[in-house]
Amino acid sequence: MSYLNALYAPSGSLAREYHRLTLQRLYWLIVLATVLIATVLFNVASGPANLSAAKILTSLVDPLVLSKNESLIIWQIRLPYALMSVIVGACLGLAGAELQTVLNNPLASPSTLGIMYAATLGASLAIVFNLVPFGIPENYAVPVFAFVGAISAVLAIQYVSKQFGAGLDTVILFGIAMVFALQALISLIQFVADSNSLQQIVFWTMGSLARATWEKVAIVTAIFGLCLPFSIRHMWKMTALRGGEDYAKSFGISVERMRLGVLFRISILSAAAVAFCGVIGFVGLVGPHIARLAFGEDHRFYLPGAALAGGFILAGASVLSKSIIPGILIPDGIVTALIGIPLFLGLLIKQKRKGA
Amino acid sequence: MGGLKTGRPFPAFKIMIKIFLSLLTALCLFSATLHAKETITLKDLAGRDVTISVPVDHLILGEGRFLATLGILDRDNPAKRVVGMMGEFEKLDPAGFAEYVRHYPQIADIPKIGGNGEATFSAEKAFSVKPDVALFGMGSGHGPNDKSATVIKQLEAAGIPVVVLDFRMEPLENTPKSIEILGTLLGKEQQAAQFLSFYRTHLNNIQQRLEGVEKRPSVFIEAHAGMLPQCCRAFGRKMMGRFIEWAGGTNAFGNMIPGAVAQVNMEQLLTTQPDVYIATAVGSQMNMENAPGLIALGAGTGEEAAQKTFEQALKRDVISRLSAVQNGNAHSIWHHFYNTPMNVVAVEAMAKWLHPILFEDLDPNETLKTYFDHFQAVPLNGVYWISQKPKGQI
Repeated sequence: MSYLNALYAPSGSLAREYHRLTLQRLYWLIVLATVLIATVLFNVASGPANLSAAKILTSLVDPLVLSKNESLIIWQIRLPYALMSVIVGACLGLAGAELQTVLNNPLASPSTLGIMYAATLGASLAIVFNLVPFGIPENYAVPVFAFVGAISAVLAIQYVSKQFGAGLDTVILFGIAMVFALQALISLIQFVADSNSLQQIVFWTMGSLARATWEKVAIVTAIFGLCLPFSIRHMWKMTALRGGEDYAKSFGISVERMRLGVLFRISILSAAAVAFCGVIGFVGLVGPHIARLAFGEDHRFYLPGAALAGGFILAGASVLSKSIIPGILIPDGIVTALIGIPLFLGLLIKQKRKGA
Repeated sequence: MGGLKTGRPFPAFKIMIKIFLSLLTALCLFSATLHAKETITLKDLAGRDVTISVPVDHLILGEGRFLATLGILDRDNPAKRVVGMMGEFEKLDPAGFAEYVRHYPQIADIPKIGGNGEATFSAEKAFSVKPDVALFGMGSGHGPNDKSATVIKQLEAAGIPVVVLDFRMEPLENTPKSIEILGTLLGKEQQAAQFLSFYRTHLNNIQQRLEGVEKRPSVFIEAHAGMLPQCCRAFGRKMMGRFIEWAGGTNAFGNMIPGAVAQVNMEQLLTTQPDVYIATAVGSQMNMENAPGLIALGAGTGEEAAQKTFEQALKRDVISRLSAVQNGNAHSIWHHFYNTPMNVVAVEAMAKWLHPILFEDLDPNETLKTYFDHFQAVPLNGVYWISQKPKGQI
């Protein structure tokens, strides 16, 4: 055995090591997915109505065991709420992960380039000026404006950056300029808003999953599904980019073009996420970090890992949101940090210990 | 010549007497005003000792909505002493504000010392209108309040005493105290006493009858019904949530909500099914077109508009499934009752909803009318609460 090892060591162990690493990462991906599913199930099983998990499971086979009220609670309140948390978290996690890669910046998140603020501005405009676009149901007016706002912000950044070659600094600096300009505009609108509108805006910026319905879950899932193939297509290119911009270019990757493409995708993902739930920060920043700590830079694992981590943070937050004070929902935007930070710090400490 | 001489001193003497008399009158008047102004020290609702010379002639209002309260004492013109006010009245209750401007057009010209919110308060503007006193609302988020240490210090340094009133944090305990202070400030003690007797009579009547009543129906009081896209926010124990206990009910979310208002879990509502549903109305007939989801109540809103918007609000998803709504135990009340001495009328209306038999002879509408007839500077014009129309089970 030792003889064989010595003989094949240079090439064999490297391949084996790679194989082992891949399997290990796959294993952790499965663990994370399992934990996420468990969280969702726990989320569906918990709530002030005191429905036993056994009863809920039986109802899948025989819907009649639930009273009309109970089935309403499970199907119209708990399930959309639980699923919305996962899909919104996944959108934000994935968007944040891709953003951190293409901007080569570990501090990047959908808030960095003003995407969140642009969505808030869109929503505020719709709320204050009562804008209802032609042919759109009234309760979708605010989400539509938030969505359009987020996309326009990124398009504006893209347009300006293109004039200057879409370099890293250009994109980040324009993004930051955008953040401040948008914040000022939002404050201005809040200043002229009447009190009802103002309350609506403030509540919107706190972020809440209580607005979840099946329809909205379906819309966000569809958008996530549409963006996913493009993420997969860019997977290897983004992995190469982690080696440095020059390194990626040496493979023939048009980094600038890819950056703009990815930015556009990110804006769609984060706009979809916040359009219905309001501003939920933090997930898009920490989700990717958790994924990076667990899976490294290989985007085949890093991207799904970030989506799963994002989903888990928000799903966990939604459990906390309704169980800290049973009967009351604490805005999810507030609770996300409570669940994400310990997870993040735990992984960080573990990794530092390993390194030392 | 001698005749001329004797004639001369006469008119001069007359002039001297005239001058003397007018001087005397002026002196009398001056000393009278001096005498009428009296320096006192009072304890305001924040527990601060305020030394001030009363009655005051120039006020600034940390909440524009104090106008309606001033109307209790200065019924001839609630704005006559107001030299500056915050602009939140106009934004929060446009219909109510319009009613005041209609009767007292000069209200529209009162200098604004800020908009809606403490941050918009301009100390410079407040100094420039030279007030004798500033009235702030306790715990107000809509203007400078008892916690605005810098503003209070600045005003005091400029010789403008700040008096904190409260109709919001502890509405039913602090309303009489606030009115008493206001009566002293304006030199209208008698009018204040009349109001306090009205206030206490009505409140005591409810308290006395509720003594020994065991059954306290559970109440879900939804704040700002229809304002947010999702269901629902409830009042906790503070502000309007407190009215529930005084009206002989238990607030279904009273022990859960740490602040004034919080988002409730719809599941909790469907599971516990409170006995009575009360929605607070932030809309009005004036803005029905702009904000169709809100319930219209308050000044300038008619019965028909109120009923229509209320029935509409009851059709919302989770609300329509509440057994209180299905059993016809749903009501709506004007939201701004939370910050006015009129709160006693709201408690009376609620008490009748919660204990219809016990308070069968009580007529809150009559109380509301009395309030406006005797203690307001504008006439009653509008519906301030509404109940579900009786109908068969859904």
